[in-house]
Amino acid sequence: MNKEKPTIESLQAEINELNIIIVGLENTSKMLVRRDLDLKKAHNNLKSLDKEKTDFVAIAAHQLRTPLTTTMWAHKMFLEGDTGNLTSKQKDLAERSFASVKHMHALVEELIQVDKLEYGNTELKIQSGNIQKLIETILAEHTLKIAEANLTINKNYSYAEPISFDPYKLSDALGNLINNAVKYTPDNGKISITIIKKASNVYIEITDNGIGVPIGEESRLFHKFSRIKNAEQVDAGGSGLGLYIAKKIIEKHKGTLTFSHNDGPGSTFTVKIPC
Amino acid sequence: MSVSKKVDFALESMKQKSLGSVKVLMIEDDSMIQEMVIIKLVSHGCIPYATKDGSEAVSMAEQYKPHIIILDLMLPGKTGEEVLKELKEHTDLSNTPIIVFTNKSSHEDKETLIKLGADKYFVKAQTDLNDLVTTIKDLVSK
Repeated sequence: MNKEKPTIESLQAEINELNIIIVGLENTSKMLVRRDLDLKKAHNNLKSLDKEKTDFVAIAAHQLRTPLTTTMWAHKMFLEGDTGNLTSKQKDLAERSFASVKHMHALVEELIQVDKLEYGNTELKIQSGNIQKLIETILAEHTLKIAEANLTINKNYSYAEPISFDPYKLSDALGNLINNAVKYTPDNGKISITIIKKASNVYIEITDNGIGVPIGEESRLFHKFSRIKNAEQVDAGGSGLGLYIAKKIIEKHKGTLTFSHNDGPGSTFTVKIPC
Repeated sequence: MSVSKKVDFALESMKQKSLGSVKVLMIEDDSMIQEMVIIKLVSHGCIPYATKDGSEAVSMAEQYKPHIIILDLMLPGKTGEEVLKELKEHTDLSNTPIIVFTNKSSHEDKETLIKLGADKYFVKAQTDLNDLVTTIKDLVSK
């Protein structure tokens, strides 16, 4: 097949076309660089706005902490008769406002905890310890509630070797999970706590036959301020921060916190921590 | 009702209560917190002394010889840590039980203050004042 030799003119025309394409590409590249800079700027602005918003919430929470604490103490002293006896009407009002103040106070404490987890000194103070002992300490704090609700606690501790964790922070995380199990399990219900080791991880499973989580609401469980509908019916005063805090703390231990439905009623929360 | 009237009222209503004659020195710069805790302690029979200034803490302790000291950490004059160290090095006061009462809630702060010689550590915002009273009872009965 004969192919015509390119002429100088045709080559020049191709070079011109290529030059036009190169200029176009250069312009597109410059435009993309500008867009990238704009996006980075917008991202930084959003980050800064988010930090300002978080700082505002944290400052507000810290400022509210002391007045709410003293208001709560005052209500309690009224109700306990430390400042004299109340009439039944005064007592009724004091009881209701005490409940509101207590709720606000708990919310403020959790907001401060979230702020510390997100922006404070996040370094864990890792020590060697026994998870079983940690769980027993948490359960001891709930003795009264467990007895009042006649809950059965099944313990399956098949791993008792010491592992490395921050006892204070992990106690907060497991405390939130056990507190939820106690709070959302009806009278005469059952809570099972299992500790097992699989491969190089320790698993802590907290299972209850309580109110459970409605299908479709699972993904919201660990979001900040997220509350599922049936939990609100049991405890309207919850902040929706407990599971968020627990997950953050467990993730700092390079672990995971997951939820699963039971075959019957209730929920299972599983903590996995490397050991 | 003024503070003194509130205290008088609480004094009257507590005569039968269990912490009679226990002297407590409270070093706390927040007036409201100081007042609340004192009303609670007085209602249980304690004899309260108080100052808002860290630099007055040791001289007041020397003067009144309290059975228990409740010590805030963030104070004008001297910090709670400085006061604690001075009290623990004091010939006559080193054995006086000290309850740190603060809103510094990190576990590191708690460990540091306990190592320095504090007998108990309470985070104000997480404290039920009845627990404070129970702790005072425990410490004075030792």
